Amino acid sequence: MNTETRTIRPFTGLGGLDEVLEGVVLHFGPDAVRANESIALDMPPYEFLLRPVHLEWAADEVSFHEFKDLLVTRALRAEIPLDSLSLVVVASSSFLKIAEIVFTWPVDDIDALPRQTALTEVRRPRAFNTPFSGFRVDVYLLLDRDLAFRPLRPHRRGTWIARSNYRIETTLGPAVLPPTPLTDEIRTRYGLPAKTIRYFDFGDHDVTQPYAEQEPPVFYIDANLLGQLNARRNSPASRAIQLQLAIDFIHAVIRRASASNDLDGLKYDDLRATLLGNVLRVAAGPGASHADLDNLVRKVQDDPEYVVARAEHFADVQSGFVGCLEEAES
Amino acid sequence: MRYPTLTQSKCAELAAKLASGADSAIEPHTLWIGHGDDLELTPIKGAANTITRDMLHWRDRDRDRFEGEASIRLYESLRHVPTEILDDRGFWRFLSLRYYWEFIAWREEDAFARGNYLKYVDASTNTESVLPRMYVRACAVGGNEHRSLASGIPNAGDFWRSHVVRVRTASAPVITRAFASKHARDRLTTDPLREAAKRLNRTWTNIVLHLYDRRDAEVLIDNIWDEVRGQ
Repeated sequence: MNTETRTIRPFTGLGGLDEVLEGVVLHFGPDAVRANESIALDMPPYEFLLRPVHLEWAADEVSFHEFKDLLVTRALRAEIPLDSLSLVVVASSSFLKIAEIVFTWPVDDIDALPRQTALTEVRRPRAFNTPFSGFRVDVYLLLDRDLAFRPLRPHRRGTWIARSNYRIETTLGPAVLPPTPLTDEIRTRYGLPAKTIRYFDFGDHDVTQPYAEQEPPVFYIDANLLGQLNARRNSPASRAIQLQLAIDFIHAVIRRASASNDLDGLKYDDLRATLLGNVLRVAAGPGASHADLDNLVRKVQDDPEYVVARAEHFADVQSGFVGCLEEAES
Repeated sequence: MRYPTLTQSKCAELAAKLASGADSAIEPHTLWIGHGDDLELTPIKGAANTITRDMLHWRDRDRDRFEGEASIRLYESLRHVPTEILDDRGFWRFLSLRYYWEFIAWREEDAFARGNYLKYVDASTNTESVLPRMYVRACAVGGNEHRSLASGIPNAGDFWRSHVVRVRTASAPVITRAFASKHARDRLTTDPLREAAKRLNRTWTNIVLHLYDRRDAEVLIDNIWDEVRGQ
C-alpha cells in the first residue's frame, strides 16, 4: 500500500506571493464562500441553475487597491516578471468530469481588473449547471509562459504560484464505497495470501483531503464472497456480513486518519468534503452539533477506537446482528 | 424540460429482477422530473439499439474496444441533453435499465455471472457504472472527431478506467488525447503505465494543465515516457 500523503510544493523565495488570493470570495447567489472553504446547500435544481456566480477579489475599494498592490510588489520581490503572470479561474464538476477555464486576466494589466468578476454573465459555464454534484472553482495566480530554469523556482508554463478554491456541495459523498471484486490476479498484484477476503487500497488518497479531487480508494472484497452477498442480498447472513464490511471500511478510514499528522488544528468544517468527514457524520449520529463533530475530530487522533464504537452504535450493528441471527433461526 | 429517472432503491429492485431473468417493465416505475416538454428520447433509443445490435456481432475478446467505439455513439446521442439532466444519476439509472441492460450485461458478463451487477447500472460512480464511464471517456477524448482514439488501444480497459476516467486527466481532452495517442503508439506494460500515470497525476498538483495546447501536452507526455522508459 502506498503511504505517500501529499505533495509538498517544491518552490522557495516566493515572498508571500502564494498568499495573495486568501481574501478572494466566491458568491453563489446570496451565499458567499471564503477561500478554501465549502458550503453545502439544499435547494431545488431550478434554483441552483438560476443563481449567478461571481468572484469578489476584495471586500471594498480600499482592500482591493491593497490586493493589487500586494500582488505586484510581491511578484517583483519574488523576481517573477509581471508579464509572465495571469489570474486564471477554472470551474469544474466531478461526476461529469467537466473543467473549464472561465476567466483569465494578465497581471501586467491588473490596474484595469474590476473588483468583482461575473462568471455567469455572458454564458453560464457547464460546471455551474450541475445541481446534483455541485461544483468547484479554483482561482490561480500562475505562470502563463515559460521562464528560464532556476532551481527551486517556478519556471514552467501553467505552474501556479497562489491558489484558492471554493466548493459548492449539494449532495454528500459516500461514507462507504461500493466494493470491488478481489480476484486472484489482484491478490497477486498486492502480494496478498490466497484467502484474503478484504483489502483497502488507499493509494494516494488522503482521507483528510476533499474526496472528489482525488482518486478514490479501492475497497476490495473477495470476488466469490461479493457475488454470494449480492446474489443473497436480503438473506440474514448477507445483511450481517455487509454490515460488518461497512464497519470495517469505516474503521479503515479512521485508522488511516489517525495515523496521519494532518489533523492537528483541524475542525469538522475543514473535513466536510472528505471521506473522513463522511465517516464522522455517521459516527456523530443524527442531530450532532458542530461542537460534537469537532470533538470527534480530536477523538480520531486521541482515541480512534471510541469513534469506531460510536459508528457501530449509530449504524445499529447490534440489532442488525441480533436480528439476522434470530431471523436465521426462525 | 421533463426527463425520466429511476430512484436508487427502485433501480436495485428492478435490476435484481432483470438479473434473475424475469421480464420487468421499467416505465411504470419511472419518475419524471421537471416541467415543460419531454426530453427527446428517440436518438438515445436509436443509439442503444445500434450498440446492442452491433454487440451481437462482436467476435473480438477485447470488449473494451467495443466500449470505446460505443462510448462515442452514446455521447453523440446525448448531445441534446442539458448538463443538469446528465448530472442526475437517476437519469443514467433509467437509461441503463430501460435501454442498455443487455449491453451492460454483455460488457460486464463475468461480474453479472457472479451476481455483481448493481454498481454497473446504478450510476453511483462514474468509474464503474458503464454508461457514465463511457460518457466521460467520450468527453475526455473530445467526442466524435476523435472517435478512433476512444477505441484505438487494444485491451485498454485499465488504462481508461484507472488512468483517465478516475482522475483529473479526463477533464482535459488535450492531455487525454496526448496520453492515449502515446500509449497507442508506444505501449507501456502495466507497471510502467501505472508509473507514467502517477507522474502525470503529480504534474497536475503543481501545473494547471487545462492551459496546455496540443504541442505542450505531447511534450509533457513524451517526457514522462522517456523518464519511465529510462528507469
